[in-house]
Amino acid sequence: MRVSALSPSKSAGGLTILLLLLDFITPAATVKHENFKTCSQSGFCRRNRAFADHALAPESNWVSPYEIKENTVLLQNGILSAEILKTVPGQTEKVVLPLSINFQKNGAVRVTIDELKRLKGDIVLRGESKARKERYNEAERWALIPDWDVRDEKVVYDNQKGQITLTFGPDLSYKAIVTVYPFNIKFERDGETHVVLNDRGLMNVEHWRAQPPEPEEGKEKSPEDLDGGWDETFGGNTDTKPRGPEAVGMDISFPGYEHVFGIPSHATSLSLKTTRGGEGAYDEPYRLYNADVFEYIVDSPMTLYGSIPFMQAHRKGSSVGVLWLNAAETWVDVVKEKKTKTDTKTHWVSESGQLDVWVFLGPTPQTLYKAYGELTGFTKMPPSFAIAYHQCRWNYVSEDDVKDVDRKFDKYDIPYDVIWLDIEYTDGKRYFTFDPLTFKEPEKMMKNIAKTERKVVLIIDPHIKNTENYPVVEELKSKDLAVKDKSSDIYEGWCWPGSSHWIDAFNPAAIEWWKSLFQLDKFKGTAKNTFIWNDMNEPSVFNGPETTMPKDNIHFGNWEHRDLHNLNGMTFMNATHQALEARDVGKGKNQRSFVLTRAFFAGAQRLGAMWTGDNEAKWEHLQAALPMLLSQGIAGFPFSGADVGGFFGNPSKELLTRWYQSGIWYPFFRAHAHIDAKRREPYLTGEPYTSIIRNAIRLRYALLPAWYTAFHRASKDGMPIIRPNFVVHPDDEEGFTIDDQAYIGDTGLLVKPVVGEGVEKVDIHLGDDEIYYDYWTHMIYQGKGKKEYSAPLDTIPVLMRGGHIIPRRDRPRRSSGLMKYDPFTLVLVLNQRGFAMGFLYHDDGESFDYKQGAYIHRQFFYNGPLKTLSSRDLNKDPASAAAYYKTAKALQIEKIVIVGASNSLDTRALARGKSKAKAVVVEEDDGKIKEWNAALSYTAAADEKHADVLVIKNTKMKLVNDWTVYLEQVGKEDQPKDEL
Amino acid sequence: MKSILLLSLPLALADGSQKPIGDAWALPRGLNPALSEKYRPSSSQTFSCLTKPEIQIPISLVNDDFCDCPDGTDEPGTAACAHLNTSLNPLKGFYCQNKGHAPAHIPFNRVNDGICDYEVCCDGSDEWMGVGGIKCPDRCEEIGKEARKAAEEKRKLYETGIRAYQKLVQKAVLAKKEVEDKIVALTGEVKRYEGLVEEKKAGLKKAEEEEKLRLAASGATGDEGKSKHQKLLDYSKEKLSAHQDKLARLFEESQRLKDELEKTEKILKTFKEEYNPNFNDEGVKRAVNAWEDYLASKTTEEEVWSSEYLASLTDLMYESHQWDNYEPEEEEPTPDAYGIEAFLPPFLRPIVHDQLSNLRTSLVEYGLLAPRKPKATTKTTGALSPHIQKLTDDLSSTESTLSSKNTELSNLQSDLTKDYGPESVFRSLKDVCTEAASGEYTYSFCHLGRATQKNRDGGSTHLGDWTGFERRFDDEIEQDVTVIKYERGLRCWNGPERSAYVYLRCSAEEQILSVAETEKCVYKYVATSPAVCGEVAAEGQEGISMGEANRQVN
Repeated sequence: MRVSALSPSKSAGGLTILLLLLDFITPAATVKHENFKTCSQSGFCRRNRAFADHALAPESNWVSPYEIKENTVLLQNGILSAEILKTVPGQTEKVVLPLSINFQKNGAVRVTIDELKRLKGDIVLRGESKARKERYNEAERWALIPDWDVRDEKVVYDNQKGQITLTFGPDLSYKAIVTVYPFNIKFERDGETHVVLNDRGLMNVEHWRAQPPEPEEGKEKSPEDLDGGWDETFGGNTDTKPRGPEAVGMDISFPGYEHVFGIPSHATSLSLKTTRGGEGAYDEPYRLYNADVFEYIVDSPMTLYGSIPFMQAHRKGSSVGVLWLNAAETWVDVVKEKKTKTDTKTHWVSESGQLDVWVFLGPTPQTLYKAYGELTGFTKMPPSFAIAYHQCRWNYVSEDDVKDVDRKFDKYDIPYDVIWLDIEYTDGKRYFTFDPLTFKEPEKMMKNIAKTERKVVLIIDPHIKNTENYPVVEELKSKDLAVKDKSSDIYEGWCWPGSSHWIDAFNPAAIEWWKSLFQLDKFKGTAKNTFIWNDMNEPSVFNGPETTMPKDNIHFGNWEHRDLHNLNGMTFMNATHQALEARDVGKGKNQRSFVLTRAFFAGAQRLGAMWTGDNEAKWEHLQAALPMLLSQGIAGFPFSGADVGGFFGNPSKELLTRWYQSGIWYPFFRAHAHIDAKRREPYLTGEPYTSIIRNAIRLRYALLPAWYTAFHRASKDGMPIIRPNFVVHPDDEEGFTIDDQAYIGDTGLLVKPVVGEGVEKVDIHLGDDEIYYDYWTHMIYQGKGKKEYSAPLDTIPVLMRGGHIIPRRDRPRRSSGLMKYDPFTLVLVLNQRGFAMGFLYHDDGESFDYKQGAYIHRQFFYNGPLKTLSSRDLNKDPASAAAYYKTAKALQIEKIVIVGASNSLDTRALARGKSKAKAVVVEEDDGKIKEWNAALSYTAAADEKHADVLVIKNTKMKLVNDWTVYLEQVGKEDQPKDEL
Repeated sequence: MKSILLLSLPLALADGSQKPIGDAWALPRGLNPALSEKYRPSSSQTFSCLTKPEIQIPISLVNDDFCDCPDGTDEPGTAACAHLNTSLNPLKGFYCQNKGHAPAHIPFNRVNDGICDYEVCCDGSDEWMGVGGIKCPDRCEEIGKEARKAAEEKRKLYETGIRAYQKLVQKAVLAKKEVEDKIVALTGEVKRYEGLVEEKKAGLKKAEEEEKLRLAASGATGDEGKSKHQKLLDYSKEKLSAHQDKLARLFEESQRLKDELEKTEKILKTFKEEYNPNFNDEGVKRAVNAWEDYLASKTTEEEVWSSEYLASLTDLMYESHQWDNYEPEEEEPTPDAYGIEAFLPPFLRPIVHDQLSNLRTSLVEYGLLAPRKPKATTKTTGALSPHIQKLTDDLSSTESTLSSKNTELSNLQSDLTKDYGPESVFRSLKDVCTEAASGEYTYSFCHLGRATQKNRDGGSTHLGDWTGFERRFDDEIEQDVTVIKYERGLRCWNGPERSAYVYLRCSAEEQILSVAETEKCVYKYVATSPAVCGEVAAEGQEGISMGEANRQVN
């Protein structure tokens, strides 16, 4: 007996050891997936996917139950209105859904579908809810610019055989063909269909219904009793859903389009993968539900910190787009169907709100981005420091620490503009305070940093510590400006400070209050050079469902959090942005704001910058960053960056170095590290890394004029600051999916960051047959397709495309502010015909004077056959510019570098000494014509694989003036003194 | 056209050179006068780039705010060549004369950037272009005066420091002497005790032999022995079976506890993997930290429960013994009370012995078993005469005294070879502690002892124990300094064991100047102590003042 008792325990012992070993080798997954819902865990997503499966089943003879009531159709002032009737099985009464199709002057079309009963307030809420009864209709108030509504009054209406045709757009080349039953809309341009709404009949407006009683034993559930439509529990939190099921869904097809882009933010490829399973595809839809996703994984459709429901479809010769204007939790399925051509078909579902879709018919990426920007606004022109280098860490722990970092950057001669303070600067996580022990004299610190024109960014989050003797929370409560819970009591949750309340920035009074808190005399310790970082504004609530707020929380106007969740972060950022712009920074003057946000929605580009959140110090995260940032550009919010070095963990020196070499190409360029990560300021890395990083950051600084010009372009017409191949070469079909290289603005700079460990060469894809030159060696790359580029650790792969002019400032200063008196260099990159063109935008970089014309905007043009370089004024308001021009007189162009000079000059003769070149500068200065010769220096090409370079030296023309440089080639006998 | 061109030249030169003084030629702006000859215009009015003399440029292009030479030497007075790698340029920077103070070089990229860099260029000459309207009046008189005053104060401080150092050295010499004296004394004593031990051993041996003879004469044999054996056998049978029972129960109990421990550990393991460090909850962090400490210090499963061991243990519990083999036949040496050990395979004996004695101890502690009576020993060892007992005891006590003297001696000897720094100066600072508040903590370190971080509510964290000295570069004063190392402190959450490094500077007082956590769980103290004033004295007075006065940025 004992023996038999013994054997199990014996084997149990062995087993235990084995199990322990197994536990040890199982790798720990990073993201806490179970904290976030899959589609099947989100009732409305599950329902709508099932709805789609049912409708699309091969044996199904599905007909969409929506029909336009023809006698309600009315076209007036560019808006077609009508009622859609929804047939509900087993009910005679039809659900009335008011439809509005708004035609905009720029060709954009808005299709809005609401629910009559709810508009009228003719519904009963479950429980004691005080929530609004309408479907949320205020997304446009935040996402769109105030005067977005510019109608096309010339829409032509035609109604035949149940088909309403509306002709509109430029030269009446667009058509919207509305089919009455089953309801759908086809959008045509130039006789081709580009976008179809309800193509597959997946439109689904879940009308309001009372919750049916529990069915009796043995009886079936009522068809109105939707799965997951009522109380829904996830992770221990129950959502009470006072309005029951209310999702809106629609399928949108792009016939003939193989690629769709956009709907950031996801850590995925630029060209969106399909989501219904299969090889290389996801089996979850892309989710848009702003959330604090801790240690996110790459290559996933999982939701991240911000959402922009804008999608672009692109094919050779055409680009179109849609904006799904809905701020509730949203899921998007993407499938592709290959017939002779490939169609991309998408399915959009949101939990609540109106069905509100914008359609943009392109036809080019440029026109598409412009139309989208005319609606949601263009990128804000940032203060110039904001596009320089930012040094962040959680945390610089004291004033001494800040001083030390500042001193070390100077000692190692690495430029930086902004030092950041994360949450530990506060007195016990009370925002608007400084830790009295570690930040005793913040004013002094700000002043010290300002000596070198540098700035300090402080973090201020939306959670306000719920504690005694803290005036901010007392005011928040007494003024009734916080978010409420479902019982309309002040909502309490947990975040950094522990128990906290959240400012409700949807409330105009809250914005006004928030503005008052940032005035320099109120927020003691801050100064003119203090700017703000808004983190955790998804909002992140540590003890909330999916680390955010309960959906049945109540905001200003009694809207449920559910309706506006994805807008929440942006409204908070908006309050901070307004507050910074309202600061009196001396003599009643204001200055441009700088706000960094983690959460965002369409339109946030008007307010500041975003970053991709808490990434990791891993190569795959470095790799994931560029596609994510390119996607931000597509979706109109290009002022974006990823934490250089990776937030979590400790990067190897190689990874850190490569990340800097990559990060200099991010529109927002900031290094950041977690509190548990080792210090990794670039001067700590040691040689050769520190020098390589210094050189990389200096390259960013030298090119700041080009970056600022690219920001200006984005602020005017929405062109992305860094652009993927398909935007620059829209007909290069091979290059549509390329997302690991980028063009910088209009400079023709083509960069391909090294993102792999031990990688020493990269393939750069050339999207056209133009001549490209290596930035460093002037080696020539030519011919469409892949080109190998050697990139050892100290080399940043950059090519210059022929035909462009790149503005630079070559003197490496301590900060961008200290470059303000420095002269410019123009790099002329000649194409094969000898032409080059480029732009430069410049202003004071801090005030709003540029809005009154106080800016310099030049076009430079080099005409190869004529051998002339001229500078032309693009400032549309020279009269207002005059005063500014006076202050900017000292700005000069010191140097002109002509790469590929042989495309214009007979450089063979020059090289052989058969002829001499000279440069004559003619400048119009204060109404007087000045003329002088500039010296030249010529470097012949090393071999036929390299370009030759001609430098015009010490040119001294003023940036504000019109001037022309004449290059002349003369024979030996005519030999003026100052020639080559 | 030509005339316009010529007219434009002086314009281009701006204010690139200083006014001639007496001589027709003026030293180019920003140039160290030591290099003046290289810039004297040649007859051809050209300048040869310093490291590339084959490149000659018109002298008018020197300091014309445009970079012509590939080494940047044509622009000693502007920022035009600042973009070049500094290793290419033999010029150390823009030379500020700083009349009334010490001359210095400022990096070229700080020239004409609109900032008066008085820390380096007290004469303000770096901003000669006056960009953006900046004016930097010469402040060398005032700055020089302050600097001299500071240097003088510093010198005085060092002097007192050196005096203090000398005192410390004297004290250290005395302390060392004391140790050496002790060693001499102890060596004598050890010798004496070694003699004593030998003596006593001999005495005991003699007494034992006498006792043997005495026993043989009294004729004590056989019967009693036999019956004793039988008794012992019975006793052993009974005890062995009881032990086996208890061992089995104990084993089961330990299995149960092991299971529970495993469950608990699993919970904690999941906790550690799944908690969100991003939330930075101090309580959670502490718990995870403690868990990791626990894991680090835990004995591994294999060490305690090797399968070999488990197998033998079960054998031990359930094996039935052939007692017949042990029925008395002839006299055998009598086993001790832990009799079963004799029946075990040799490799198991020490383990079982330990286990049993532990078991026994705990059973006794819990009052389940009566303590083993010393009587039993006496009984089995037979009748040792009180005389021999006394001699044995006496010998062992003498031996133990000898051994402790030996230990003390070897401690003292190793103390003599221990690194107490130059001239063993730290010997006289032993256990001297210094502390200072920094942020929410108070930091302290004790010479040759321990570094500690105390928080306001009285808790304290062990940052490390003294492990020695090392030379390191102190980048604030730009000198190599002595650093005291404290290592192997409390392990950090998700990180290494804490450590602290105290960077010392010379002063009469022991004082902490600053403490910073330079890297996760690595603390950098900057402190003053007279103990390092000797190094400074050795390097000479220049070394002292240069530290401060020569703070130009490179």
